[in-house]
Amino acid sequence: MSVAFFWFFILLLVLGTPVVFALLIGPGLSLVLDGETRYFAALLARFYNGIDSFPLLAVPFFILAGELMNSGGITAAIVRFAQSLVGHLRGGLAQVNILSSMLFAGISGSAVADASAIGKMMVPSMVRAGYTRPFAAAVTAAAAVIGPIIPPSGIMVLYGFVMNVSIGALFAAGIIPGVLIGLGLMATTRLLATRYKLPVSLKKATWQERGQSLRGAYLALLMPIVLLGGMLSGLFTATEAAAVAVAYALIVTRFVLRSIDSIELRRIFVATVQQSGVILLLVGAAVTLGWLVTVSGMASAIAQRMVSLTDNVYLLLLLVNLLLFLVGMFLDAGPAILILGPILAPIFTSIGVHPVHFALIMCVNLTVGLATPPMGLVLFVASSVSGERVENIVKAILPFLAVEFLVIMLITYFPVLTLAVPRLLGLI
Amino acid sequence: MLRPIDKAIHWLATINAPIARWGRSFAAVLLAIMLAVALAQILSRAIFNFTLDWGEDIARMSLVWSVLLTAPIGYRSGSHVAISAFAEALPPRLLYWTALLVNLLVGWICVMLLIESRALVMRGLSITAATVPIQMVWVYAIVPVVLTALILVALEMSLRLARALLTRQFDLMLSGVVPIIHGSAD
Repeated sequence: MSVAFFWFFILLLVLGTPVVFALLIGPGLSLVLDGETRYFAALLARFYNGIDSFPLLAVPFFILAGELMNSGGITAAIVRFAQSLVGHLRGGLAQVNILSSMLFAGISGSAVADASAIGKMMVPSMVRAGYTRPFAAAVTAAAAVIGPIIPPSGIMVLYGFVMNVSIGALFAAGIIPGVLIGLGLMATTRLLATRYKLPVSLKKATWQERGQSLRGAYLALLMPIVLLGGMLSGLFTATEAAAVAVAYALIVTRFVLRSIDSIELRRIFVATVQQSGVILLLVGAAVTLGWLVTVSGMASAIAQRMVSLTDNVYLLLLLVNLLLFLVGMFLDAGPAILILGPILAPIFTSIGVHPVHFALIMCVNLTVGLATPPMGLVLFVASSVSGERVENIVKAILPFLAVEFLVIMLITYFPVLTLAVPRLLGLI
Repeated sequence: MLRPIDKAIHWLATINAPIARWGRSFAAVLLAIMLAVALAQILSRAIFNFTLDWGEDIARMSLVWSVLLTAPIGYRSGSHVAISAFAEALPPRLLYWTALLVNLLVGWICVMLLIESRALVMRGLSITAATVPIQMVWVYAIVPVVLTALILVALEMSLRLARALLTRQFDLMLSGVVPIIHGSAD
């Protein structure tokens, strides 16, 4: 089988074809061109088998849990708690935005959900307090990137499934990089706060006030502990953890807070199936691509080509990071992982990079890509919730992106930052 | 020339809109079933120390159906991820020609897969699920159903684009090269 499918796929992608269809039409055209139409049956079978998998249930479940928590008013409680901790600092509301994103990341596994939920609450407050609108939107977008890095994480579920890597280990490996990005963004905000004289908006909360805000948010903050605890104790698998997350979110929002009625619940279920349907159809199509990449000999050809460039692992890692960063500028993290994972991961694991380490490099790099122009999904969400033009947000986000790229480099060249927690927990 | 195209678009929209909506609603019900099954599995194992063998099969069948059932509405509402930067830079006429070609290709690949799906469904007649007495033909049957629905949507999209090219009214809302059509039937 020739590699024409890949060039057809790239051409269709550039022309604006939905990725899921480009992933099927490209191979289809190639099979016709090669006179191997008998493989259409295999194409369909791979696509079907790509979806027919129990671990993939985690994708709709994590989306559902995030939607429930967000619609149920949990975001407001998290923001109040973050305000009580860091709201009194110079540039405090920007710090609240970042800390809220870190806390929200423990509930949602999506950067878009993060940007939408936190942005809707924080951007108007920040603008009222005297921050410029582009800066408020930029902080929101930069911080939202933490969503899929701190567990749970939708893209890690996808990566784990497609590349056959332990999802529990990936979740654990995301903790330190996620916290590092959060702390890096907070430190940058602190520097910018002094330089641009960002306002101090809130008075310092007393310990009693902090306790009160914690009481409002503890149900949300407990969720990641319940999930990780259950997974580590062997009570449930990563997929079942997602179901537990939904049950927990349902109980909290429907019965404890009583903030979601049955009409809203129906809307959330419908929105969830549509979102997850788009992702999982892509998974099916990406599995067919992975199969074609292997049987056409393309993977080994690329591997040989890359290794012939240099046998220096550090240089190869730098090159792959630049490639991923470039791809992340144009493609959403999920599809990029599904397309590039089967091509790149075998190359790097064969030269000694730990599968979990490489997974984190890919996931973090492509997630940061969500906040880079010209095709940063999170930038568009930040633009939508703030009413600010994307090009203005791009200028303001540059210092934050620099920090995020620095963290990518740190986790690339210091594997301990990603492997320490999973090793500590006995997951790898 | 335009009258038959308009009639065909209206006819297709009248079929496609409810199919897309019902598909999504049914998928939402299946999501609830998946959730119930997954939770039942955990509870049964934790409390009764008993594994529900059938749980995984039912959840997987529901997942496949729910994912495929959302495909028509995802296509029709322009929800599928695409890189639109290049398409947006094209002049309207060229963009619409490109969009027409792409949507026809979508229809073509669905036809090719639909032809192959017959063998898949037939194979399902002789396979029974591992833990539940369900013939796999019922599970596989969703594949040709959804592919047929996608072909009808691709046809509707192509006709809408062809109409725009004929009338030179380039006012369709596009997501990349896919017209975005909300629930209505026209």
